[in-house]
Amino acid sequence: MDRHSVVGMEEEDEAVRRRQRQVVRERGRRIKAAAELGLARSSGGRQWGRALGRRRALVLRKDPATAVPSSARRLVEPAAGRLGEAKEGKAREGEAGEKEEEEVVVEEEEKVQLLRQLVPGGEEMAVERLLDETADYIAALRAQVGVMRALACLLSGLGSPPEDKEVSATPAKLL
Amino acid sequence: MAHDGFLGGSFHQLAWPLDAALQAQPHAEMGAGVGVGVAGGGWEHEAGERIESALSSLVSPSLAVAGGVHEAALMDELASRLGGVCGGLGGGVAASPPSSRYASCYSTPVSSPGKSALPVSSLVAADTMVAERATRLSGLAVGGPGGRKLSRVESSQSLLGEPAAMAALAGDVLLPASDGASRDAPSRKRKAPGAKTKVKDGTAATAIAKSPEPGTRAKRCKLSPDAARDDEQQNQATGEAGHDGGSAKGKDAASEPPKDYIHVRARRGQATDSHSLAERVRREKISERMKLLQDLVPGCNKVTGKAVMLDEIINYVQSLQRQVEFLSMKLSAVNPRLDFDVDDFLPKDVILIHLSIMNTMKKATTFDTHIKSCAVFSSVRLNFQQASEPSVPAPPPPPPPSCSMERPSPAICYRSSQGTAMQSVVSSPVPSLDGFHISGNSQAGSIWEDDLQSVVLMGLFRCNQHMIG
Repeated sequence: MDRHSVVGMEEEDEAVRRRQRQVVRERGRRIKAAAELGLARSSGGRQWGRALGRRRALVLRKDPATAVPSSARRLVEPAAGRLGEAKEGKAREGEAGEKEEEEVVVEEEEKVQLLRQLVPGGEEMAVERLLDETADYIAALRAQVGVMRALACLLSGLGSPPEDKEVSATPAKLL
Repeated sequence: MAHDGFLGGSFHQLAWPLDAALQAQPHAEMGAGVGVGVAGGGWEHEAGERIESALSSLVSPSLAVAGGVHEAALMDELASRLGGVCGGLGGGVAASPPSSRYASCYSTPVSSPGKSALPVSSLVAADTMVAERATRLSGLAVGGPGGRKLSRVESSQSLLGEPAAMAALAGDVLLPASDGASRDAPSRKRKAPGAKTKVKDGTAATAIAKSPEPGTRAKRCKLSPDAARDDEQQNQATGEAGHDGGSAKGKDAASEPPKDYIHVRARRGQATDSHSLAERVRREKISERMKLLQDLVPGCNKVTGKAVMLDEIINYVQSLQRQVEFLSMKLSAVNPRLDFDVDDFLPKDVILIHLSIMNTMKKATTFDTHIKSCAVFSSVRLNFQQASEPSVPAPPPPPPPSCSMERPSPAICYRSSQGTAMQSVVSSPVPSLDGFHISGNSQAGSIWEDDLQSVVLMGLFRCNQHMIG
């Protein structure tokens, strides 16, 4: 009987842990949505801010669980993949020593396309505008990251951790 | 042919193919329009002007289609013809009938290369001065293909204008406000500005009829297509033509205020075609922005080149987005140290938390930072509030209590989507907020519905100033 109960408890623990993880993930998504909203709100009327707000509005009306992370993942991975390819292509070209102007232009167009996907609302902008919005978006993202990091440290009772410039995505202090 | 009576036997055989070729073409090209306008208009001036404009109009359409290979041949023939004609024709040119004839003929773009220039040369009077101008114009009109791109008004005016106007190649070109579309990549590689300056000298020395000059200039015009690429030559002369058009138009329209044009000063040694100038302006804008981005993205100081910069930018944006995601996960998992009972949360606690965040960040914490922190923080709190009942999409929230938005400044107003109507309203007058004031709230109303969180934070500045500043 004891073994049964123990096993039962373990199973329950498993289930609870799974549930907890789900909860955490859910919360994380909602927090992320809120962060993005805050980001958009503080964009000061910029186009990317408005686009982000619209996107978030749509997402929040639907089920927040599905839309947010999948879209983010989808963007990140193929973007990374294509970027890798672009870099390889460039290396090869550099070795060959010839660079046709059209090829360079095509590569650049691809990258601009990538950037358009990354920056919210960047799909229909001209290139100069896109670069403007990117600069603003980068500044806002940096501020957002700083805020969230500070908040996280605060809430977990750590005080101010040293700030790294390029923090890898792997969690260091994930509880 | 009607031309026979006008000019002479040698001309006859040359004019005929020209006619046929011309009439075979559709009326599409601008250069044709230029030709018409010029030819029509040119006849009104004195003989020199007339002939010069007719010559240019003829040569430009012809060269428009000729392509580079023919240009040298054209130049040769033109030069020789001019030399031959100098002794030939008298000054008297019957004005209107040939003009109408020619106008009709040259209303269509020329497709027959190589022959069309010749009748023009025969048209030229015996004047050496005119011959000079003719050679100059032929050099000019190599920009025929580019002349196509010029606006009709510009080019026709340019050719109608005083030849002295061409001496004022100051470099001012009027660009239309909207960008030209073409990528004149070859035009970038502009060859010897020497050719251009030579033309300039030629125009300035119009008054001085020097017989050796046409020869040398013709030679130079001949040499430049040989030495340069065809595209370059075309674009180069295009630049000249556009140049003249712009300067002439500028002179004519000096009294008019520039309407929608962006005045761009062309740099020395660069093509001055309206399209390539627009291209260059665009490129400069882009490179300006890339420089700005270089400052933002860390570690990009040594990187040059658009492609690599774009790579870096993309990487950075991706990494920042990943960080946001990661941090949001972390925040969702954090255990709040303070056992704050969220229902009892007071506004000042919010302020304190924000202040501590600002302290932590230690850099320029702006208004936007506050907004961001509010958004995240409120979400965290609300999520933890519902630790027991996770992930239920919000029921329609109670109507938000009115925040004191009537004042031009500050309130913190929370509208929660999760149903807990937390409002902390801290209103305190704030000296100036760089124009942020109510725009936030109105924006919120227009963009987002009620079931979204929106945070407008304003009073913190005041507190900030008290506690930190």
